[in-house]
Amino acid sequence: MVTETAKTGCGETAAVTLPRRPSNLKKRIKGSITGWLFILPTVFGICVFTLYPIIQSLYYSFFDYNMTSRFDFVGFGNYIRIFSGDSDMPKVVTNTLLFALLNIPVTLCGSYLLALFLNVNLKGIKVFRVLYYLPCTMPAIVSGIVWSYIMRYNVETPGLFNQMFSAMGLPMSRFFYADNFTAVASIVLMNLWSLGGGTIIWLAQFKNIPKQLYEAAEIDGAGTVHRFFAITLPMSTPMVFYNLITNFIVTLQFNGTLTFAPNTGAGNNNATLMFGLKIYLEAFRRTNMGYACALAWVLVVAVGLVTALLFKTNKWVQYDN
Amino acid sequence: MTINEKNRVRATVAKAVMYFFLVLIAVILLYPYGFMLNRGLMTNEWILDSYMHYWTDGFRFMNYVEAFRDGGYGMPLVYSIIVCAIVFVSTPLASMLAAYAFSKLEWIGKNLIFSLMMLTALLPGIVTQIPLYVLYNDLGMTNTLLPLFLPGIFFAGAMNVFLTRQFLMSVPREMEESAKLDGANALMRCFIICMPLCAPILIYLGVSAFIASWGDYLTPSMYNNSTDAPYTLAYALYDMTSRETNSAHPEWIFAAATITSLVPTILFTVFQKYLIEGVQTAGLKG
Repeated sequence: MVTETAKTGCGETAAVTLPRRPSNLKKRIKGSITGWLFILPTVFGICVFTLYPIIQSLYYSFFDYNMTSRFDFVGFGNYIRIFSGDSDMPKVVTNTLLFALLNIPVTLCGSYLLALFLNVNLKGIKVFRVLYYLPCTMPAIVSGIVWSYIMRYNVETPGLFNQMFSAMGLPMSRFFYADNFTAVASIVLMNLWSLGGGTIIWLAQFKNIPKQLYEAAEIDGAGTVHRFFAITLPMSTPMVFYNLITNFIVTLQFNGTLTFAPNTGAGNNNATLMFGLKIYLEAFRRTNMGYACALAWVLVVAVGLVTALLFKTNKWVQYDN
Repeated sequence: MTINEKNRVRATVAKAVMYFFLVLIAVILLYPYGFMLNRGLMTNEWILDSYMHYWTDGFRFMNYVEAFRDGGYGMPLVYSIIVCAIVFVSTPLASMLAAYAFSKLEWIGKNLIFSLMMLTALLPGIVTQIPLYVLYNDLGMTNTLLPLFLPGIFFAGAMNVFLTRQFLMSVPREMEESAKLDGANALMRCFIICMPLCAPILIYLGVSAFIASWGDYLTPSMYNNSTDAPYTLAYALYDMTSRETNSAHPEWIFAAATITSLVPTILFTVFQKYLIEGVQTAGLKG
């Protein structure tokens, strides 16, 4: 590899000095060799670990495939089953939508407010910024374990929260052991502890807002509240938009309930069964590979539609240049 | 009181109120972390008590030793270190190689490959994971550590390559000119001249790849289906939670969980300058 790249290096300089040039295409091909060698591992990786599996997954989605005995072509059977045959699906869709509609506004607004709060000039504020981020450094599996203890529901051995509730004379909550929407709401509550992650990005965005805007507003006699609504908020809209899209994509694929909810993450009465988890369970617990691939492709289309919809309605986003 | 004094008092009170809330929120946010630290240090009797204690009854550091010696978290720790060490080195190297090709070299098909690569970033991971499981199974790679780092050795991920490319584009061409005249080939220019200049972004990529692999329980849970498989630490913890039976030694679980958390926490605290900058540019540019 080294010798060959050296050769092309000589070729380049020779082409400039020699009066008779080789044909343009030939030169371009020769000049491309180094680049191709550099990108070869990446292209190989994309082909083997991304492109091939994409095609394969589309192919599997038309089969009833369990990796051992069955590999039968079923046409659109898997897709029909998703929309009309699977009794889990109504619950999966409502849970995913409920989670998205609760979790995204709460985490976006929460981290935004926290960032506004941390965006002050106080001694030691940097230490607090780090402290607020630390819960995010806890791996998901560990926070799953910790939260399943904190939110444990058991009359004899209640978790920390329920212990506090009883001490205050409040009724115990089932949290994510509940068989209704309380379970999804508990996940949103738990996510409040990782607000620090979003806060860091908002703080960077605030730093990028030109100082002159605030100075001009101050001269015009604008108060803190007015300055926030006239400058800070509009200037943050590109970032709000970016976070909205990424949060939606992540939420639609969410399968984190695996680490804390009962019944391998599905919860009691499927109260925490969401789209990402459904695919995971079909593929890796029930080895319904074909059906899981069909579900995954429905997810791809859903992600695409949501992204397109958000881009269609992004008139409220203020791009400065 | 003069107006000046009044303002000073008001400012002091406002500051005190701010600090009060800053500390209050910090205590609330760090509460689960403290809960874990406490339970990792409890004696067996205290942790098995039907009342869930917050404070530990002592500092039983032997829990850490026992968790890794007797609790079955010893080998997982070794496997985690192996996998994380590999991705810590391979992610920056693979990103650098691809980013150099995209930003400093001219070759036919560059724009096509670049668009293709960026498209992969938009794809939900689960679409590829199912056929990959079939592939790994056919190649006999399930129940090994290979699926955890092999893909990353070739392709470091679209976002990582993109960020490195952005960084490399700000490195002026003149930096390489003299080396080029001295006969340095592209590989030498990439790794000897440009790589040190990209240190901030590469440190970010390496450390965040380390942290991501360290906490990854999902990938092993997909590609492991045997109890003989090499469990990583995060997967060993996940496997423990997915078993129905209650552990006789919950303090070992929390001791292992503490170590599993402390590693990323320490890495973040040490490299926070690079990590925060990296997260911010990833957020702002993407």
